[in-house]
Amino acid sequence: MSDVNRCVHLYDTMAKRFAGTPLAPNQARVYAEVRDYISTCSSVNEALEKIKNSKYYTMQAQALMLDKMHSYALAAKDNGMPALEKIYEEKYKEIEGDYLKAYETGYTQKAAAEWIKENNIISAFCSIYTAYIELICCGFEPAEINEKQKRLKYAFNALNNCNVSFEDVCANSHYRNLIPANDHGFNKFKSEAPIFANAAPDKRVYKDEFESEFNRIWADITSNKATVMAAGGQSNSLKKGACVAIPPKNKLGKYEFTLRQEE
Amino acid sequence: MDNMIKMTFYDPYIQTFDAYPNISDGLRAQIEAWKKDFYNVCESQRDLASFSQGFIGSEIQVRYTDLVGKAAMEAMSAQSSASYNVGGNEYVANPTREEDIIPVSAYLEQYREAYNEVKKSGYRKRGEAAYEKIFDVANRTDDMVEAQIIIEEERLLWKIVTEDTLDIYETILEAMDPLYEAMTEPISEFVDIYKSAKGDEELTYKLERAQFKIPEIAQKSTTKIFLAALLGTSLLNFAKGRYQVQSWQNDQQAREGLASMIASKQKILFMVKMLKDQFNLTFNDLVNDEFTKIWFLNPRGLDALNRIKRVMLPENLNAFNEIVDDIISGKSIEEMIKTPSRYVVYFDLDKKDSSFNSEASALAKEKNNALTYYKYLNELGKVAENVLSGRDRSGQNPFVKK
Repeated sequence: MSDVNRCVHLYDTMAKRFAGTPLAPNQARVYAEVRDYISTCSSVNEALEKIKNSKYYTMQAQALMLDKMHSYALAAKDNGMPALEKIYEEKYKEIEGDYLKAYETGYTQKAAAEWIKENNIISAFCSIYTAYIELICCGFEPAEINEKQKRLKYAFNALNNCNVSFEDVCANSHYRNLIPANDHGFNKFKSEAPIFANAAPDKRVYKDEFESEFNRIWADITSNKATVMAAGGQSNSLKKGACVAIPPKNKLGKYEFTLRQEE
Repeated sequence: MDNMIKMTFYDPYIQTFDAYPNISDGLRAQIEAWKKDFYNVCESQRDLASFSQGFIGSEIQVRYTDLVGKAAMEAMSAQSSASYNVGGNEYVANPTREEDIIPVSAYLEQYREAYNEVKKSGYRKRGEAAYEKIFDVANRTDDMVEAQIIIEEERLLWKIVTEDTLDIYETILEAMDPLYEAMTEPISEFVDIYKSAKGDEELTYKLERAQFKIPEIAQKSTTKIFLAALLGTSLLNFAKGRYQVQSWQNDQQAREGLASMIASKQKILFMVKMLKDQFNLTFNDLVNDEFTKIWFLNPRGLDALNRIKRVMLPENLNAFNEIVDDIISGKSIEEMIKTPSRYVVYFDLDKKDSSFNSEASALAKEKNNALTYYKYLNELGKVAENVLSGRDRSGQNPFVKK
């Protein structure tokens, strides 16, 4: 293979590699064009000189940055983040117009701000869900309910600070996917959480149940104290102990419990 | 100006431009204009918190980053306009004559500094090997075009990126509990991406997608942990209440025990129903799942990544099963109080039990001793912390300067 043919081969290899992915259309085009552009040269010297004096001298780096922006924009689109997609599309157009704009990297700060916003929404939304579950699962004591409700309110405030509504977040499949509940559970959460943030769930029924059950059982066991204590005597009573759990090598294995100590 | 704003933002940002003394007058004027505006912005903010909140992605920060890029570009252009020195020899920066082309071995020397850094770390063996393959090209050909073909066809530069990053993430992954998906998933995802991506564009796309998807995976796992821990607490309280009643030290303690049993039973019933209605899960699903069962045992990490844990004794799972079965089958509390329990419930040893803590920590240390992560904890610990805290879900090699 002559020297220039090896140059052509190099550009051809690169062009084919880029053509093999839908994410590098600019590089695929530019490298194929360079390949064809130098194919008539008689030496490497001529090919190098020809490239240097042509648009291709800067177009390779430009194509690289364009494809990078294209990949970012496509990912943002597929992620359902239109504001982020727009940042990368605008940068794409800037670089397309002037390759030197690739060195102006302020767009990365705008992109970072979009990710911070996204992470803040995720964090607040998940906090709402956790606080909601804690509130619905807690007991009927007012102090406990108040404490859990405060957490729920706080989490709603954090979401409000992101300038998005709870309803909009719930309606977005991405945020929906953060919650592993089935549709029934999610719909319940969606309708109850905002209500409970302002008015705690009414747990009087549990209190009433508790009081009636307590009085009934207390009367029963105080008159059968000997039976209760005998059962206690035969029980494998409460003890204290701890051990160390060693994880398996992979997900399919089981924990190994070792260094067992009891008292 | 608030002193914290000055120290944290104003001074460092202004000083950045000191690194570029030889820039054009036009750019200098733009930088001076920006400095004035930045001073006014810093002056107008009352404290660091309010400043930080509005700064990221703001117009003033975007302008700053653009200007740094321009300054760096001018500096690079000045450097690349003439020649450069490799191993004491001068080479034309942009050759147009074959005889001016840098020899292959000298050309490959540009990777020496990065290689030395990788080698210095000691554990980035795949990265080292990838760099060595690059240097080996000089032994295979002294022709620059041929060398470029080899590098392209064998994707040697690309392998530097992927292999070196895999060294870092696989080392962290090895030091984690593989069942603790909330922690392992972000890193596993990056590992999969670096193994499967065939080029920079695909890597960019996949890392951005992963950054978006990872919270979904991690949160699902976190919620299951949360449910198991919540249910585990009520089961333990129920068992403790029963013990208090059955041991009947005095009426007050028995009353408290009974109250705890009834309140815990209400919570257990509510949660078991909620699991079924809202998650299509049963208690058995959680307690038989190796991943969630550990969370019924109040785990506490004994190492930096919580791989090895101190837990309550696993026999508790049998006792918890018994309690849930009894409650679901409608067995009354008085019946449960009057019947001996089949299984022991082990409460945790006192947290201050220093002899057990010391033994457990020593065991964890011994088990972790062979792991590379702990040999390079200072370096890798920061990477793992950033990824796991969500501060860096980008998956980019943290040791490569962007």
